[in-house]
Amino acid sequence: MGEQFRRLVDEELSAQQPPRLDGLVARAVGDGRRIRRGRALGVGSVAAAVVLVVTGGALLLAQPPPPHQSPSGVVTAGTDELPATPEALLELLTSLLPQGTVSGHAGRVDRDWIAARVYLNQNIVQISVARRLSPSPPFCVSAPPRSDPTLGSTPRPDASELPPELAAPGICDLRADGSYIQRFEEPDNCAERTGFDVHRPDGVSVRIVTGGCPTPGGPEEVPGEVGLPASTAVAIVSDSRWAPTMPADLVTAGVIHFPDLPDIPGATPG
Amino acid sequence: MRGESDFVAYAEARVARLRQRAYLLCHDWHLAQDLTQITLARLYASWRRITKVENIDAYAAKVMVRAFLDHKRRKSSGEIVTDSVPEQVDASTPDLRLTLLEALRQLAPRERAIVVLRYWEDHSVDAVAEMLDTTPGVVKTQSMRALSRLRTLLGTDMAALVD
Repeated sequence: MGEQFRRLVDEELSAQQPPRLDGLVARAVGDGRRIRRGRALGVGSVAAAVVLVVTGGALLLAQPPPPHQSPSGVVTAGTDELPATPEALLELLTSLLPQGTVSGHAGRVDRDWIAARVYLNQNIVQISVARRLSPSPPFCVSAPPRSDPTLGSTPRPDASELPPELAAPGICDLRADGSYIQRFEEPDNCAERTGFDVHRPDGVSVRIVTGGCPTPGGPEEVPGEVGLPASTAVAIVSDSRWAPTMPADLVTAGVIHFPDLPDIPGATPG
Repeated sequence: MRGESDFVAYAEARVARLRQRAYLLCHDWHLAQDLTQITLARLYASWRRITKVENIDAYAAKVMVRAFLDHKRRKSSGEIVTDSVPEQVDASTPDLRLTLLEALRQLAPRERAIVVLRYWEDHSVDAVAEMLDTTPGVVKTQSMRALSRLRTLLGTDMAALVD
C-alpha cells in the first residue's frame, strides 16, 4: 500500500540537503533531564528548552507578591514602559550580541515567561525573562549566598576567571548590586552547554543559555566555536532592561524589526 | 529497554528518520530539528514508562505530530497555507511539475500529518486516529480530502500512488 508514494517522497527527500545532526540526541537528553527535574518539582509538561524558567515561575507564584506588584501578580507597565514581548527581547538581545552571523530569530510567550532565541554563528543564544517578580531568588535555596565582588563588578570576568565554585553547576553568588547569579552547565548538551540565571533585587529573573558544538569533522573533544564567551553572556543577562516591562522604544522597535516572528516550538501534553 | 544507554541507542538509530518525518510535516529543516529534539526529549523524560508500551515508534510519532500541531496552533510559523489552488499545472511538462513535497506543503497541517502518517509511514487508520486524538471516520474523511487536493495540485493519478 502506497509503495510508489513512499518511493517518490523518499527520492525527493534524498535530494534535500538537511543540516548536520551533530549533537541533537545529546541536546534532547539534556532537555529531557530538565523536564524530569521540572516534574520532580511539581511542574507539568512544558517546553523542553526552557523548563527551568517555568519552574521558577511556578515557584514564584507560591510566594507573596512584593509591594510593587499588581494584585494579579502580573507586573504592570509604567508610563514609558510596555509589557515585554519576544520581539522586544530580540530587539535588545541583538543589540547586545557581539558581531557575528545572526539567524533563526524566534520567540515565545507563555503564562510565566517570555523567551527569545537566535543563532549566533550557528550557536544558540536564548534569553528568557520571568513575567512575574520574585521577592527572593528561587534557585539559590541549596547554596548560601556568598559575597563575591568578582561577579558583581564591571568588567565581568571571562569563564576562565570565574571562581571555581561558580564554574560548577548550580552554585549561586551574591553580587555587589544585590543580585544573585547562578551558572549552570549541561555537559552533555553542547548546543546549550552553559547558562546563567540572574535574580535581581527588584524581583526580575532572567536566564541566558548558550553553547557551542564540536566542529564537524573535528575530534570530539575539541569544542567548536562557542556561541558566547561567558563574560559576554554574563554582561547580557545582567542588563537592567530585561524585565516583565521594557522601555516602550524597545517594544515598538521589536514590532517593526521582527514582524511575524516564528514561535520557539514547545512540547505538548501527552 | 531501560536506562539512558538504551534511550541513546534508540534515539541514534531513529533520529534521522524522525527528522525526515518532522520535515515532511513542517517543511523547514531547522524547525524539523527542533521538533525532533522536542520529541526525543519527551521520550527521554518518560523513557521508563514508554518502554512499557508496545510500539515506541508509534508513541514517538504521536508526540511529534502533537508537538507540530501545537506549534501551528500557537503561532504562525511563517508558512503560508492556502486553500486556493495554484495556477494550472501541466503535469506532462517535467520542469513545471509540482514536486510531491511541494504539493504536501500546500495541504493544511492536519491533513498533511494524516497523509504522512498514513501513506509515508503506513500506519493504520485506527493508529493515526489515536495519534491525532480523533476518530477513524475523521481520519478517513480528511485522507480523502487531502488526496483529492494532491490530485488537483499534481495533476496525476493519486490512486496509483497510494493504492
